[in-house]
Amino acid sequence: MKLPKKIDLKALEEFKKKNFEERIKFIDQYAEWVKKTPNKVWSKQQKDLEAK
Amino acid sequence: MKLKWTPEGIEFNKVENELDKLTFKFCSILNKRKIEYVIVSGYVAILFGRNRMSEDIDILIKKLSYDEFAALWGDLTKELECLNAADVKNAYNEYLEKNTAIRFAWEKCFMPNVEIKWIKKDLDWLSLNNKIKVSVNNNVIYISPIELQIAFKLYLGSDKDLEDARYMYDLFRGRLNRALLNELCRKLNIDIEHKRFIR
Repeated sequence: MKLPKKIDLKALEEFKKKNFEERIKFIDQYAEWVKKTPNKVWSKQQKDLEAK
Repeated sequence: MKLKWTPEGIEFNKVENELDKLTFKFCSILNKRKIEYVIVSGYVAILFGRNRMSEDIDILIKKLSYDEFAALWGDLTKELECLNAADVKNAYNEYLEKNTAIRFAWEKCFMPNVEIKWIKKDLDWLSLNNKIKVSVNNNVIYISPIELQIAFKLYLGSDKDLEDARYMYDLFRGRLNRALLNELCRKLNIDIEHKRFIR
């Protein structure tokens, strides 16, 4: 494996930051969905998640 | 999500996941023995639907005498097993008394597990003294105040913690004591970068 002379850590840091901001946005959307979704539905999906 | 807010706390029903089942079993034993405890950290967000899993449930317990703990150990080990301490004396003297957690799981299982520690820090006492009673599918458990959970998650500051904080903030926004949350953030020296998650 030939590694580059220098890894662009700044680009990686930007990627990490952007990825995190996208996750935060998704959490906002998910929380809104949970608030308006019946308990039986969101909790069933939560339970199913652990089975995957 | 339908939550019933009562003068005593919160009531709701949900489909139980594996973390819920272990928590309800463990807490039923603590409740039966009238042991003072409070659930803190990630499971609080998961209880209310945060879509991530965790391998453990963190419970802080008001210090027990050796005899009280031995009685609790007897009840716990009927269905659960301790993952890290060899026996009751070892658990009490070499773990809990040295401020090290002990972990319990269903027999022959490793995960999920309940991690227990004695209450020690200022924030532990604050959690215990202001705990919220939550009744889920008629199982009673006690959790740390949401404002304290959010502030502490912001203080910890990993991506996972910030996401937990944001989720609880989103979910309970209309119910939070904003002044209390701000004061906790101030006392924990939460930096502006992290505080933006609760704007």
